[in-house]
Order: sequence, then structure tokens, then C-alpha cells
Amino acid sequence: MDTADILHAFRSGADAVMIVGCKFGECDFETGNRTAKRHVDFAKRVLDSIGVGSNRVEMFFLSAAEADKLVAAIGEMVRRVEELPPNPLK
Amino acid sequence: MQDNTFKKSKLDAAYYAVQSFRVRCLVDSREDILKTGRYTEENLDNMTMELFNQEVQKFQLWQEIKKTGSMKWEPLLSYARETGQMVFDVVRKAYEMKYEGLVTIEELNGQIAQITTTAADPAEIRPIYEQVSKISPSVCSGCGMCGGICPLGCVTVENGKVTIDESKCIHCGLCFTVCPRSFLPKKLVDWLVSHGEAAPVDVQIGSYLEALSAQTKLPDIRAVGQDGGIVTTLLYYAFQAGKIDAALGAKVGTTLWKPEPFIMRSKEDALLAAGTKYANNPTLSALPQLKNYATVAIVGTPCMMQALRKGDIFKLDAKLWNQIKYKIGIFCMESFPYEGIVQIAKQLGTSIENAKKMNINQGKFFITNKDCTVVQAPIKEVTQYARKECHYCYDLTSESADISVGSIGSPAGWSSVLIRTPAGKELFDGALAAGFLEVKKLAEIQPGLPLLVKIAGTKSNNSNKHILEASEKKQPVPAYK
Repeated sequence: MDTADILHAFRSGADAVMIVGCKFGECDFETGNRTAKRHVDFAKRVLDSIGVGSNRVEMFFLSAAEADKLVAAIGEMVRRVEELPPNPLK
Repeated sequence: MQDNTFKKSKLDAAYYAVQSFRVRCLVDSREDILKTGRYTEENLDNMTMELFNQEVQKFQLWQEIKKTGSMKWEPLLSYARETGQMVFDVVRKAYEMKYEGLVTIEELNGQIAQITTTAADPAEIRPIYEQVSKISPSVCSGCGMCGGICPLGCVTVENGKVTIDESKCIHCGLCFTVCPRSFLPKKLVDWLVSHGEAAPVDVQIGSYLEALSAQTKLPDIRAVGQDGGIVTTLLYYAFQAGKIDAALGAKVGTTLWKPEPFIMRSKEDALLAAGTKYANNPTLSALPQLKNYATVAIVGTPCMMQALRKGDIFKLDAKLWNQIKYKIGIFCMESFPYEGIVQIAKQLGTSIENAKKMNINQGKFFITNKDCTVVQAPIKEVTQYARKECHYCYDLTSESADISVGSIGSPAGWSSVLIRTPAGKELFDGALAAGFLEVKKLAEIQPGLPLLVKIAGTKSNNSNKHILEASEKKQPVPAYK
């Protein structure tokens, strides 16, 4: 998962991008979640810098058993999309 | 910031920019870099974002040029205006693309006439941002800038040679970018120093506002200064007037006559750094130690001034460049490895232990001994000990500095001074107003400017000659165009 992937999603018309990763210490790939967070943090700075806005991307850390938290996270992203203007590049 | 701007061209440019390995390296290794403590979080993030922004603008410029395949000077000015960029910044990006092999630049009468895209693809540009070790040891100036800027501290400069710890190197290419011997567009240096040609640019000694001859009035400094004691006086004044809280220079360390980087924190410290040291010393490798000071001055040789100017031009680590208020350059023909200085002392019939002062004047190398006897030899006889790497350099008078100081052109006990930028002028005029300096116009002095220009010309001709010879042998050479 790379900053470029996030930007590509916006180029393709996404209104928002949500990344879900395992909690720190629980990653199957050991450090995959840390790498992802690093790229998401950078993506936020980039999105602010180019005017798209950092609140359109978010990363959530959950374990597979926390279905309720996943639902809440999705709800959060949907709320943001409803409050923000749509991506004109759709 | 949250203004919902979804411009396709900007998103496309950002998409490519984040993939530029110069940006990616810093993002991917962010934790490792912060662990070394060489950059604060704010510095590192600013530097990364600045690099990202430049890659975005560079990509957009490349797209614009590609529309018709080439761009002439007038359209370039319009483009700068339309995109709200300074012309200098657009030109700089064009030069970067030139070194990356993405464009060629044709000049007419020293001015850019046309920029034309080549068939290369930005995805192919990685090769030019090599590690600094790819520059070739035969060309290294020993300034230490690579060691200073490396985010992970894996570059060491010792005895004029560079070593890279491969296990830590992330191939970010910063060392290569700031190196004065990789690529250094002289045109951009002159432009920046002369403020877009507001000040005249002399072919041999660079751009300057005033040419003076000066001497310190402070007896403590006169006792330890090399010629006029000007550099020490400027630092002394800057500390006293609260203009700087630190200065980076060179001081002889525990080994006699072997200089090492030295961070001054007071006017008393400035006196400890007085006197010319002819042995090569990687002063700039100590740059990370300046990060907590608000305003600093840096004293160094022409190559060091060039390296700092490159950091300026290519906007690396923005906060550090804003901290460096005064770049004080000294005149330099060549430097010597430490062992060379030891040899020279022997050749002159004395020793490092006996030497009290060394100076080069009127074509001779002098050593004044502790017992006040003086020994000497023509420069021709000692130049064999000089660093061959220094002979690629064209710059005698530190053309990239804010103010340059040296003995050539002034009589004994005085220094020639070239004030180049408003910052240099502010520093000098302040010391003068404080009553610390005696000053005359260099035009009123013998041998004066003509000698300085002549010797500067000799150095630059030698540089051209060496570069030509090395190019013919297909050896690596600095790119000064």
C-alpha cells in the first residue's frame, strides 16, 4: 500500500479513501501496517498541499474480530463523503 | 487546504511526484531518519514536502514543454507568471531536467534560448541521483557536505575521501544533489548571488557589490589573524551584536596543524578559529550540529560555499537554509592533505612542531617558526603536495558566498574583501560601524583587483584544462554548465 495508490484512487473518481489495517503488533506481515500508516500520513500532507484535503483519506486499525468497530469506521467515512462535495473526476 | 480542488493535472503530477524515488526514500525511511536525531521531525517533513512540491512543479513543467516539444524564453516567462512561480525556480527545474536527461537546453549569448524535451521518460531518471561515491574520488573536494546532509549519517568524509555505509544508505540521492562536484550550473549561482543580475557579474571573480581592502582594529584579533583578521572580526562582531548564535568553521584540533570542524558559540570562540589552515577539512559534515541554533554563519572554502549554494538552489532542508544567514567564503587556490603539509614543512627545512604561522603570498609558501625565523619556497615546488582533486575547481574567490575574504591583491596585514550580497553587506557594514575595521577601496590599492582577477583567471583556466583532459580520458568530471 503506497501513497501513489491513494492518489490513483482519487484520479479514478473516489470521493474518499479508507484503509483498514491490523493493530500494531498483530500484523501478519510484521510491519505492513506501519508502512501503510507512514504512507497514509504522507498522503494526508500531500492531499492538503494539492487542495484535495486530508480528511478524505483515513486509516483505521482493527482486528478481524472487531466487526462493530469496522462498521463504525465505515459509517465515519460515509458521513464525511456526504458532507463533502463529490469528486468531479468521476 | 480543504478547498476541494480536484484538478486532474495537479492530481496526475502529484501521482508521479510521490513515486519519485527522491521523495519515496525519505517517506519510507522516515522512522530510521528520525532515530538518528540528525533532522527534527519538522525539518524532515518540510524537506520531504518541499521535494514533493518541486517534483510536482517539475512534472507540470515537463508536461507543458511536451505539448509542443519545446519552449522558448518568452513562453517560459509567461509560464512562470501564470503558475505564480519565480522565473529562477522555473529555470532551475529546467536545469534539473537537463541533468536528468529529460530535456536539452540551448543558450544564446548566455541566456536560455530554448528548452526541448528528449525521448526519455521520468520513470527512467533514477540513474543520475546516485550516491555521492559515484562521483569518483578523483574529483571530490573534501567539503563534507554529503556527510552533513545525509539523513541517516551514513556518509563519512575523512582525509578528503568519502565512505558510505552501504548497510544504512537508502539511495535518496541528497548527497549527490548537494555535492559541488556533481553538477553545478554556474549560471544559476551567478543569478542567485547577483539577485537576478541586479549586481554585475565578473567572469573571473563572480558577482559582487563592492571590492575593498580591510584590516581589523582589534588588537586581540590582529595578533591571531592571518592577514587583516577580517573573517574573525566579522564573526566577533556578529556574536557581539547578537546577529548569530553560532558559527561553523575550522579550528586546529589535537594534532598540530590538522584542522577539524568547529562550532563557535561566542566571540571568544571566534578567536580560536583564526588563522588559515591549508590542510583539507570537511567542515560541512558538522552541519547537523547546527540544527538547534536560530541564526548561524558558516566560514569555508569556495567548494563549501558552492555546496551550501546548491542546497539553496535545490531547496533541500528549507529550515536549515533559513538559519544560515551569513556565508563567509575565503579565497582558495588549492588545499593539501595533512601529510602534504607535514612534507612541506620538512621540505622547507623546518617541522610542524616548529611552525607558528603559514601563509602563501607573492607566489611563495612561507612558514614563520616559533623562534621567528622565516623559511620559504616557491609555490611551484610545493604544489606537488596539493590535492589533485582541487584542480577541477574554477572558483578562487568563493563566488557563491555572501562575502569573500583573502590576501590576494592586498598588502601584508590587510585582506581583500568582496561584498557579494545584501547579507554580506549588512555584516561588513555593521562591523565597520562598530569601529572594528579599517577599510579602503580595492581600486585604490596595489596590486589590487587586477592581480586578483589574473590569479582567478589562472585557476579557472587550469580547471578547464583538467576537465578537458579528464573528459578525453572518459573520466568523471564536474558538470559546470
